[in-house]
Amino acid sequence: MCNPFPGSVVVGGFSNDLSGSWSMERLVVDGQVCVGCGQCAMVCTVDALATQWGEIAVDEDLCVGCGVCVEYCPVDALGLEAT
Amino acid sequence: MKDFDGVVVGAGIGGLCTAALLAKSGYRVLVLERLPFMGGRCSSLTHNGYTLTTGAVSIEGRASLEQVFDELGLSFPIRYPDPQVKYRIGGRDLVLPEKQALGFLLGEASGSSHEARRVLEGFREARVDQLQDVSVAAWLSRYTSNPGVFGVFRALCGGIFSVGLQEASMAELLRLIGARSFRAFGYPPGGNAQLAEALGGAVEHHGGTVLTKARTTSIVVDRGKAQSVRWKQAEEERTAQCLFVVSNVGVSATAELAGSKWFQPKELVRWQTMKASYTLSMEIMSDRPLTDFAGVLMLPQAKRAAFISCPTLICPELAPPGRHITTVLGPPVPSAESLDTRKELEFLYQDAKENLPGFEEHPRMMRSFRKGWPGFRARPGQSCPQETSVPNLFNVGDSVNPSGVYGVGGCAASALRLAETIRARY
Repeated sequence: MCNPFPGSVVVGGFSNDLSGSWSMERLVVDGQVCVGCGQCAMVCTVDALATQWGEIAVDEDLCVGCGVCVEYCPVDALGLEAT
Repeated sequence: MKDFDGVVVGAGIGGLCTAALLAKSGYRVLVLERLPFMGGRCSSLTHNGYTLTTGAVSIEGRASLEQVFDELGLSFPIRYPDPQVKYRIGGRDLVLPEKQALGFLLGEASGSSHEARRVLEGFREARVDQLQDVSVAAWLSRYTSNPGVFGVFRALCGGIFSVGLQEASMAELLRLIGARSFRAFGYPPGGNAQLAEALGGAVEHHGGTVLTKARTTSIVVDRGKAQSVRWKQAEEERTAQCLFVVSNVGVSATAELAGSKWFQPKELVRWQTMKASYTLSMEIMSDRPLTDFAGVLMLPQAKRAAFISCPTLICPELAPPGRHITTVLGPPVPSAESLDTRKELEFLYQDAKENLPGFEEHPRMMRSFRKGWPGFRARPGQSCPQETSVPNLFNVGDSVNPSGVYGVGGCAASALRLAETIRARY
């Protein structure tokens, strides 16, 4: 089966299983501003964010760029940019 | 006629308490909150069925916040663990006796009744006015070098003030004891958001308005007085004129919103140099309880953790059926911007490993509360006055809490005090 979305990952014979592959926007984290409170990870609907050791890790394969986390960030450390 | 009597910037617990008390007294109030939820660092969000805090871990009862709920005619939805506190010393979880608790605790921790007596005698002689600039560490070393005793105070200062012994003020510890704070604490079964929503509901019940996702862009001051507040909601700019403004966003953010030229240089320096308390926490989400105690299990022998708590043992509503949340919490060293967050969280992780066998197999969140979203905006002794050089602009919350009360209780106490001031003037 061909992959209709170049650059996306093919898993188990089906293309486009990873939600991040159809994202129109990319999440950016300002590491200087982020405090590591984890609120973004708590509201992420696709489990693309994790807080480990007081820092946020974004799994770009999962992030759909919905921007919910941006709204919930209490210190304005998150933003979206076009992919 | 102005659009509102008062505009409250920020729906943290201090802002909500103030707004609800004033609305009940007949004032027309508008609350503006930048985030999509109310309560600030005393709220909760649901993550995979677990209700997790946005900051506050246990809620003080039988104190200012409960008084606010009483004045508003709201039931205070806190469930209390029994006993409230235990101390883990030498692998045993000790319940303190009702009388002479500190002597018992220090004796157990030091392994010496002689050491305990010396420190207790020091307490009896201690005077707040003579200890203004003395840290708890410096004060303790006058009486003992016993690491067990230091451990007890480390856990106490970490759990209550979220600072280490070197950073904790002995005068503030004595004020806390004098104010009889933290006699009771527990958890709202609906999460901290239950408290915020009850208060927000009271604002609206009494005719006020609470807007979320409403970002305040400026507090407009003219001829030395606050005239109006501007905010943005869904890309739309709005303005509300008012008689007075209450800021719940921290003192230095208040100055930024209003413009620093309206404030005295001394006032600005105090706001900008105010030190916050930082907090580290780890929340473990498990399919079995990792401890058998719902209350605060103090850890005097840990490296960083002040305590462990497992609220789901008495509030199962906070997790999916049969599942539990265990929180490990403590301040970093230093509790300030020069900290190495990763290294400090590794210490907390080690503490969890020693005290919660098997926790590593469960998902967890390792969180830090610092800079713009700290444990407390003012560490003990750093709190500022609520009034400002702009006579109708006031602060509320944990940067202006009254001495001797801290955290959520301090926020509520600052709201009670401010509501009284405003009622007397407007």
